[in-house]
Amino acid sequence: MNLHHPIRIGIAALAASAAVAAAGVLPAMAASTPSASPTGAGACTGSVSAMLACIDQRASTAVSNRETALQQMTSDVNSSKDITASDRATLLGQLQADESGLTTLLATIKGDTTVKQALADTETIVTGYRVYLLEQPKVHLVIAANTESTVEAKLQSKLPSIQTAINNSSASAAQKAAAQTAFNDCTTQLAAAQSASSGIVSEVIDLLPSGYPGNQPTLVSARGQAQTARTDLGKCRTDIQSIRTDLKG
Amino acid sequence: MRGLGRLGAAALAAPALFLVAACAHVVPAPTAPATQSVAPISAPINTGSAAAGPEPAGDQLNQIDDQIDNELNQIDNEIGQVNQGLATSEGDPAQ
Repeated sequence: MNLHHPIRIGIAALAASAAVAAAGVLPAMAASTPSASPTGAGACTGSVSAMLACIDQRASTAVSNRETALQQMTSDVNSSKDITASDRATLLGQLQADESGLTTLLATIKGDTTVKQALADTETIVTGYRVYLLEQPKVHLVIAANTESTVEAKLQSKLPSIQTAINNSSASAAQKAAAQTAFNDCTTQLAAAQSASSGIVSEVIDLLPSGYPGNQPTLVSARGQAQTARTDLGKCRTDIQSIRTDLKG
Repeated sequence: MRGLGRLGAAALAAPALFLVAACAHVVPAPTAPATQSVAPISAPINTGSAAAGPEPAGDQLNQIDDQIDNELNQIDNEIGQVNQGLATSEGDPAQ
């Protein structure tokens, strides 16, 4: 096809627009419709043995990818300095159970003798574990909430000494008043952050794949709480920077 | 002999001076109490004195700021991974 250049550009622009639109819509669709194919590879075809071999191969890839993700999450949990021992133990237990469960499931799939059973078991790789849609956000929400708690506790412990610094500062009255205003705002922001982050762990840590997608809004809500707390802590930090500037005179 | 004696004395004196200099490095002169050299983070931020130079409050607030900055970056990273998880797709392994 020998299209004139402007036409080719127009087609390319339309295709690009469609791709951008699809990229925005498809993840949400896929999240609620697990049968959507991310690769477009198509269904396995051919004889029963060929189809079983094809399903086995795809199941192996799917399990391997999820085990890699689970190992990364395990590493993230282990390397977090802020997570409580209890939350760490709970998450590591869940991640380990997922890894061993997927390994057992893959062995089951490889032993399946009918295409129907192999397909049903392969679907369980997604529905039984929800590694990407549930476990990943859950693990990182728990780590984020624990880190927010650490920052909140640290700030809370420093507030009295910051107040003392303002009271005893040799800065001008106006500067001390400005520092006090910033301090009061930091106190307010800290309380808001504590309120926003305090319930995150208990809301998400025991969410189960079997509850998905019904429990997905809980994850979204918890993310909003984590973002709110993060924003509040950022404001408190800005207040501390203002106090520092004010007290310098 | 007298020349050798001077040389011998010099040879003895040089290591001795070296030793004295080395000792001076090992044992710091007790010019100030150790507690005044580094202010602990948990100490009161400011004594309220109008002494010249940077106020202790500035150093303490800098430390708090740095610590919080690192942890806020970690929180941002975690929330970023939450966003990634919520926006992704499990797909269909059989397809």
